[in-house]
Amino acid sequence: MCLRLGLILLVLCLTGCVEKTPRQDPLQLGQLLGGSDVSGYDRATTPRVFEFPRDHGPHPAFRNEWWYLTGNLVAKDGHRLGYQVTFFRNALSPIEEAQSLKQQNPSQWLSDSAWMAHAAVSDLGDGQHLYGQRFSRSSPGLAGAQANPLRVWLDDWSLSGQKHWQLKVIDRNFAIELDLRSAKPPVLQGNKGLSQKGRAPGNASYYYSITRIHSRGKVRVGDVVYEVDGLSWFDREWSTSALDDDMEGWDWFALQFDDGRDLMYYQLREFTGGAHPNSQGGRVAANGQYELLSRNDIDLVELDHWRAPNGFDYAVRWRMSDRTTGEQWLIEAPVRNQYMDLAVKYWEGAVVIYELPNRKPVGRGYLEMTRINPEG
Amino acid sequence: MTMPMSLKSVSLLHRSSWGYLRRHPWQTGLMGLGIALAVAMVVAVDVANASARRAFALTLESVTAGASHQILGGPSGIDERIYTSLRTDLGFRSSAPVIRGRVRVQGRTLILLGTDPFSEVALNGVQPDSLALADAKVRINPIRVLLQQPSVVLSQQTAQQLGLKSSESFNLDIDGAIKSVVLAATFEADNAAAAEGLVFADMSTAQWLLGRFGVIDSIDLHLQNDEVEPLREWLPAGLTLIDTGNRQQRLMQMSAAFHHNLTAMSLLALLVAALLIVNTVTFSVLKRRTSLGILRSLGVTRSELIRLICIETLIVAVVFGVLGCAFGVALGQVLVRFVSGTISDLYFHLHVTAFLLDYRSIAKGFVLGLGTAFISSLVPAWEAGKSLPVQVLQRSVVESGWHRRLPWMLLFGAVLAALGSAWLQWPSGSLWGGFAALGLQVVGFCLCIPALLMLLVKLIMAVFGYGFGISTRMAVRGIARGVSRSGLAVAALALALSVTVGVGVMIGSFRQTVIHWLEQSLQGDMHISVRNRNTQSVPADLIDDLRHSAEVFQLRQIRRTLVETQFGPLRLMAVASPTPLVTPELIMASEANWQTRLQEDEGVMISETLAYHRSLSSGDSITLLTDVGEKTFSVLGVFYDYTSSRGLLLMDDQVYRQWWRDQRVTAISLSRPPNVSAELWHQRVAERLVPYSETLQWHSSEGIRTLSLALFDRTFTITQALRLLVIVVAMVAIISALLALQLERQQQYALLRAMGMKPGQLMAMVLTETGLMGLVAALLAMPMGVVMADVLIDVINRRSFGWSIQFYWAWETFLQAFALGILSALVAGLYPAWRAARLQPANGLREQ
Repeated sequence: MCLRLGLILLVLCLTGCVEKTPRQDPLQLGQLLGGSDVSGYDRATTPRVFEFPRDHGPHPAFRNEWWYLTGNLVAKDGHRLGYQVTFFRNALSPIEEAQSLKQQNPSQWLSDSAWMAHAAVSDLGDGQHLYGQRFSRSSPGLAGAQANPLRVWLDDWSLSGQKHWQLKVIDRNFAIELDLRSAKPPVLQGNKGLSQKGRAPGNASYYYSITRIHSRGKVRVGDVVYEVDGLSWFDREWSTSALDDDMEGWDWFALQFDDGRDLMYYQLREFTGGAHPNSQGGRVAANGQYELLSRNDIDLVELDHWRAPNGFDYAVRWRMSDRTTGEQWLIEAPVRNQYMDLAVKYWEGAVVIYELPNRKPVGRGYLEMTRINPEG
Repeated sequence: MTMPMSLKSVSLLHRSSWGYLRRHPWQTGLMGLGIALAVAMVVAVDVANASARRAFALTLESVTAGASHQILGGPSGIDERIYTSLRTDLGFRSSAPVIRGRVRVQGRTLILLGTDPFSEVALNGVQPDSLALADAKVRINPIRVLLQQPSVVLSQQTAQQLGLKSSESFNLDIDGAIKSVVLAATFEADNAAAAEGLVFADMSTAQWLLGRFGVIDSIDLHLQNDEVEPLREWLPAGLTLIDTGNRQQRLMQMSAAFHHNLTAMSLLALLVAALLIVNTVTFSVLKRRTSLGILRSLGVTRSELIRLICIETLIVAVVFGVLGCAFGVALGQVLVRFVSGTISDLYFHLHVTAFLLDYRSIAKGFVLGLGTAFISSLVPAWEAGKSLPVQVLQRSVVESGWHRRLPWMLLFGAVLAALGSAWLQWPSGSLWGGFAALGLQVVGFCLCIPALLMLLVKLIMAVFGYGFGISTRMAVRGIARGVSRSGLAVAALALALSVTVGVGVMIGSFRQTVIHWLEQSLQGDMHISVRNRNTQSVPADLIDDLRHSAEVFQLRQIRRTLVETQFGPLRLMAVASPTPLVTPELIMASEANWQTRLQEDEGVMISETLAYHRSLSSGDSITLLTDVGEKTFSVLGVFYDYTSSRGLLLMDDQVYRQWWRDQRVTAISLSRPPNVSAELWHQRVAERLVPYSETLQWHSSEGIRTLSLALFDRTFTITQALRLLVIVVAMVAIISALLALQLERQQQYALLRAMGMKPGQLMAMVLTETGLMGLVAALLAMPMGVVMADVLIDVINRRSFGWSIQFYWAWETFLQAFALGILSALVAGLYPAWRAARLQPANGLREQ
C-alpha cells in the first residue's frame, strides 16, 4: 500500500480516529440526511415557489442535494435493463462561511462542497448487476451543477442539456448514454414540494419529480452494447436535515404503470418497527394530475427477502395495496441482488409490477431500500 | 583402533591451539581487533549504502505514490485546468494532482506534498469503507478542516519527532514567510520511514502555503497500456507523460557510482586486515615452531596441521567477526547520515533518513571477514604444514624460505601492478573495472614491499652503516632478519598510508580544482538570488533600477530551473549577460562562433558531466521539453562545471524566454565599477536590497566561495571518515606486527642485557628499529599514494561522476602521511621497547 493511501483512508474513514458508535458502522445513505450540525444552512420549513429550469440547478444554501435518475429500458432484441444514476452534493460549510474562506485563500481548490455519484445497470435477462461510484471535491470544476443549461457532473459522468437532457455515465464495466425527453411536467411532492420527513420542523426536504421521461440511447453491459428505449424517472431533493434520529431508513417505490399512471411512495422506517407517520407518496395521472398519498392510503407487506453480504435483509417481493382505489399489486425484483455494495450501502433496483390477484404484469418501476440496523 | 587415536590427536591439537591463543592474548586480541574493524567497516558501509538507497527509493516512491505514469510540465508547472479537463472531458479518474514544496518546521526541512484526497481514492483503487461525504458532526470535522482550513496531516512518527499533537497549531516557514497551520490529524503509515519528513496537505492549503495559485507540479496516473498513447496525443504542448518506473530507475542509477566508491573504500580496509591476519598467523606459527615440530614428529599429518592453523584463525575470526558486525551496525547508523547527506547534496533531496538494517549487509561483512581470514591464514598454515618436522623446529628455515622467495614476490608483484596499470589504460572501462585494476596495483605493491624493504635496509646499511653505533646497526639488521614479519608490518602500514595519501591528494586536488573553477566562473562581485526558485522571482523593478544605476557596472541575469530532457530532468541555466556566458578558461570544447550561435541559434552549452555520462560532444543535439512541445537544441560546446553530477545546461536568456513562457529571474550578479572600494560598494548595494530581504538573499563572491567549499567539504565527510578508519586498522596491524617481532626477540635482548647493554640503550634500539620501519613504510607509501591518487582522479572519479580534476601536489597531505607513518610506528614500538628495557636477563635467558 502506498504512502498517500494512509492519508486518504484517514480522510475517508473519518470515524476511524473518532468515537465510533454501532449505528455509524457501516455508513448508510440515511445518515447522509441526518446529523445535527445544521447551523448556517437554510432549512425546508415552509412551502416555496418552484421555478424551472432554475430549480433543476443547485441550492447551495442547503446542505444536501441530489439529482436522481432511474429507468427501465428494453433493447431491440427484447433484452430488459434497469439503470440508476445519482449525483449527491454535500456542502462542506454554510455558504457565507465558504465565501469568507475564499477571501482568505484564493486557491481554486478551496471547495464548498463534496460530491458523490452512484450508477448501476441491472441486466434483468441474465441477472447481472453492475455498479460504480465516484467522489470528488467541487473545485476546480471537477464536480458541480448549474441550472441553465442544465449540467450536473462529477468527472466525466454528467447529466446535461436544455430541452432534452443527455445522460452520460461511462464506467469500466458498463456505460449509460441516454437522450432524455420528459413526457410529463415536474410534479411537486408532498405539500407543494415540501416533503416532511421527520417530526421536527425543518426535518424536511424540497422534493419534485419528473415521473415519466422517454429515454433512448445505448447501454453497455460488460462488452455488449444495447440500443435501448424506455422510461426514466427523475427525482430531485434538497434539504439540510430530513430524518429523525429514530429512523433507520426508508423503502421508496417509483412505479410506472402501463396505463400511463405513475406512483411514488416512500415508507419511512422507524427503529421500533413500523412505518413513520410521515411516510407518504403521490400519484400522477396520465394527464399529469397529482394526487397526494398518505400513510393510511397505502399498505405494504414484505413477502420475501434477500440477505446482503453484510447480513442486512432486503425485501425483494412486496404486496402494495392502494386503499383509495382498492387496487393491489405484487411488486417483485426480477434480480434479487441489486445491492449497491459501495461506500454507502443500500439496495436499489428495477422491479416489475403485477396486478393482483391475476398476477398480470401492469408496469415497471424502481425500488430503493436503506437499512441501518442489521435486523432489517 | 584408528578412531580413538584420531579423536585423541584432534583434541590434543585443539588443546595446543587453545593454549597458544590463551597464552598470547595480545596477539590474538590484535588480530581479532583487525578483523573486527575491517568487518565493521564493510558492514557499516554496506548498511549505510543500503539504507541510503532505500531512503532514495522511498523518497521517490513517496513523491510518485506508486503511480504508473506522471504528467510533468515545464518550469512554471502545469495549469490546474489541465487536470480538470483530464477528469471531466477524458474521464481519467485514476489521476491525482500533486504540488510540492519545501517547508521548515522547527528548523527541520520537510517536504510539503499537496494533493487531492478525493482523487487519491480512485488513483489507488481503494474502496473506502466509509465516506467523506458523511455529515454526522464527528465525521465531517476532519474532512472540513483538511479541505477548508489551513491544516496538514503528518505521520505519527513525524508528529512525534516534532512534538506535535492533533489539533495543535504550529508554524511553517516557507522561504522566510511564516504561516500557521493546524495538525488536522496524524496517521499510522505502513512504512513509517517513508512518511518521515513529509507534510501532507490538501491542494488548496498547499497552494496557499506555497503562494502558487492556479498551478500544480505533476499529475500522477494509473494507466492501462492502451491508455498511454491516446493520452500522450491529447496532452497540450509543454507537458510530457513519463513512465515513473523508468524515471525512478534512472534517478536511482545516478547515485550508484557514489555507493560503489564507498564499498571500494571499505574493501581496502579488508585488504589491510588481510595483511594483519597473515602477519599474526605467521607469527603464531613461528612462535609455536617447537610445539608444531613436536606434533609433526608425533605423527600429526601435514593436512591436519594446516587445518589446525586455519581453524584457529577462523575461530578468532568468527568471534571477532561477530563483534565487528555489532560495531559495524552501530557505525552504520552514523555513516548513513553522511551518505544520505551527500546524496541530498549531489543528486536528490532525501526527506527520508531512515536507518534500515538489512541482514544481508551483516552477512556480507561477516562472510567477507571470515573468507579473508581463511585465505590469509592459508599461506602461513601451508608453510607450517609443508615443512619437515625437523625443519619446523628451526626458525631460520622460515626466514630463509622468505628470503628465497623475495625476488619472486617482487617479480610477481611488479607483474600484477603492471597488469593493473595496463588495465587502467583500457579506454571504455567500467567503474568496477577501474576498482579491480586499482586492486591489482595495490596487491602488486604489497607483494613488492618485503623485497623493497630489504633493498632499502641494505642501502641504508651500505651508506650509513659505519656511521651508526652498534645498537643502530643491530636494529637495522633486525628488520632484515625478521622480514617475514617486518615486511608484512611495513606493507600494512604502507598500504594504509598510501590510501590516506591517495584519497587525500584526490580530495585536495578536487578542492583546488573547484576553487580554481569558482574563481573563473564567479563573474561579478555581488550575487543576489531568490530564496525559492519555484515560486519567487527577482523583482523586475529592482533589476531595472540596478541596471540603470551608476553603482552597477555590469548586471548578469540568471534563470535556474529544471527541464525535462530525453535523459530525464536536468538543470538549466538561462543567462542574460553583457559578457560571454562562459569564460574561455571554462570551455573544454566548442563549436566555432559558439557565442553568437548561442544567441541566434537554438543551441545550448552542456556541462562536462552531462557530456561524459551521455557521450555528448559539441555538434550533437539534445531534446528539451519546452512550453510549446519538444524541441531539439544543438550542443554548441562543453564547459567545466562542478555544481551538479547530473549535468547542467546553459542557454541564452532570450532563447529561453522564446521557448518557455516564464518571466522569472532567479538570480542576478552585479559587478562594481572600477576604482570603487569593495567594502563601501557592498554596503551601498546591500542597503538597496534590504526592502527585498523576504524574497532575496545576497552574497559577495567571497561568501559564495565559502558556501561552496563548505558544501564540498560536507560532501567528502564520509570519504574522510573512511580514510581515518583505514588508518586505524593499519595502526592495529603495525602494533600487532611490531609486538610480535619484539616479543620474539626477548632472548636476544636478554643476551644483550647480560652482555652489559643498558635498558635505555635497548629501548633506543627497539624504537630505532620500529621507527625505521615506519620511515620505510612512509617512503614506500608516497609513490603508491600518488599512483592511487592519479587512478582515483583520472579513472575512478571520472567513471563515477564525469568530473575533470587537475592533479595538485597537496604537500601537506604527504607530510601528514609521513609523520603519521613514523609516529604510529614509534607508538607501536613503545610497549615492546618498554618490555625489552624491563627484561630481567636471567628470565629472558631461561628458555635458552
